[in-house]
Amino acid sequence: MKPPYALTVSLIVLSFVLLCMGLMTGSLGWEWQLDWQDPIVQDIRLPRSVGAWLAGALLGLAGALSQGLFRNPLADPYLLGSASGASLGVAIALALGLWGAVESAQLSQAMQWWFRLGLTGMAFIGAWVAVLLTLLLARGVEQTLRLLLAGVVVGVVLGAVTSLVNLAFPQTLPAMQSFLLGNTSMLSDQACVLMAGVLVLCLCVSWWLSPLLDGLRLGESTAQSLGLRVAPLRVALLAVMGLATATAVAQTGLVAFVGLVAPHLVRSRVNGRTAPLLVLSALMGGVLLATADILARALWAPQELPVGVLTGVLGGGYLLWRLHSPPMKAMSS
Amino acid sequence: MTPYAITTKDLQVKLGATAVVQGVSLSVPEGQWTCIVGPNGAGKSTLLMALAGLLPSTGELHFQGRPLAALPAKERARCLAWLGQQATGSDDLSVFDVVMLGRLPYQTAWSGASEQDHDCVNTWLNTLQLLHLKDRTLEQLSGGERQRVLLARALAVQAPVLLMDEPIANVDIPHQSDWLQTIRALTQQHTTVVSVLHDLNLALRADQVVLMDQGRIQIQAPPDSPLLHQALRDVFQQRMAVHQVAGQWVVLPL
Repeated sequence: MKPPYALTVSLIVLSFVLLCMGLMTGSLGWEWQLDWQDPIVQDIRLPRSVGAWLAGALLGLAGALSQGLFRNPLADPYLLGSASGASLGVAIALALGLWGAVESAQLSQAMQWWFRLGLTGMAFIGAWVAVLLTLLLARGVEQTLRLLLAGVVVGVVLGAVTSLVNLAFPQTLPAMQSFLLGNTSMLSDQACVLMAGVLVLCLCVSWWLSPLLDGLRLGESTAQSLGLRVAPLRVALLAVMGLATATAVAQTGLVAFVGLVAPHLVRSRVNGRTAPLLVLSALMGGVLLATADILARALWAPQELPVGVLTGVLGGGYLLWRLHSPPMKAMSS
Repeated sequence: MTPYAITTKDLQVKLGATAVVQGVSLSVPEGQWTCIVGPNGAGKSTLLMALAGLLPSTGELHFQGRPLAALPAKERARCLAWLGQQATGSDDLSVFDVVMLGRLPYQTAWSGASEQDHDCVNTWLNTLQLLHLKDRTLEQLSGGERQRVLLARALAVQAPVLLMDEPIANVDIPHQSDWLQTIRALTQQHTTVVSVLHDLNLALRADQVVLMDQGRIQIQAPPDSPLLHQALRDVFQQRMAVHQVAGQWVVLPL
């Protein structure tokens, strides 16, 4: 079976084209002249375009891992409660921030620490705590159904707590809404470096552990009989998935559908091993979110659309299209 | 003395709190076909999984004289191929890819499939007459075809011991006959085959029959043993007769 070189190369080329387009899309819409010296291009558009691609790639990879680990084509990166955990983290950070702004003079040492951690750190920690909670509630990773149910429980409970925090501090609602929809406009250079590092790490580890995903396609017992130590490998891959998701979510909020759709777009073109699928899903995720980011800026300039609205509409549309095309049979079984 | 591929002594397997297999002492002769039979719920599949090292068990379990638990996972996978009951795969997997998964114990994440792996997969696809289905996906196959593909997957491991749970439940008569030939060819090449079969007529073609009931082994004997026939009648509530027809032992329900 020939590896899908053509698809890989076209996705990489497309990524570069999108990056250039991202640099030329400003708050007033499309600009034909690109001035490299312009600080707006260097300090805002560049990290934003690169960051959107990286966050999308992390979500695409996490989505492919999730679908492989749970052997469910509708699994997504947020399955283990990381989304609700990150939301709660952000809600708490916003509430603390608000509180801190009012009473900054008397801020205790501990509070200052939380305050400095900021939105990104709190979202990251929240996502991780939620994943750990899910694993704890499921008492390990042996039973897929128990994991899924624990994920649902954690999602619902943390969601309720988040709503409570939001209600107690109604002033934080607009900022909260922006996080929930996903937002690529605040990405910094540091965020890009961080996401790039995490992406490379996650890609290497998941490629290395990918035989588990191959074996799991024949069921857990068969995977075990093929010499794969299912439980530890699964924990490791879940950790990779959690890290990729938490990193992306912390920087861009809850971008919808990218992690779910990206693996589907490439799956039909990949045969054989799962490893290439992981890389291609990451590339596709990057392309998707970079595209959505450009559209979010350009479509309605000078007004900017939240990028999550676009990925939601595009992703929903794609799934609807899949629903009415014959290969859906493979998805639903 | 015949060397044994697998030996167990006082083997016990628990699923949850219940001991599904208990006090099993079994010797599987090398290069022969041993068939495990028994009523539903007798613990046949559980025993087979334990023999494959896929379930934790207590008591002694030796592979070629060494404790099975001492083998590293990858080496165990190369020595013991296991085909589960109603085994299945993702519907979008192609036949070729399924069989290639049998070569996983010989590959690493970075190496991928070697020339040798490709040859092996093609050989088994050819032997089981599946070459023309090679690019189809599993969902495009009939139940019997799927089962042959999964059998090819297990054979592609090329392990000295092959453990199969109901490998021909949905397979038509000509392919059952092919299956018997494949098993004979394997044992001639000194592969040890252990299968669980509910079809007693096929089971009585094996070299050794192991009869299980309520988690215990009632008897282990060659198919022409009168003691085995008696034990079969007892376990199946005297509702069957064993006759010899055209040199083969057959079971007739009464």
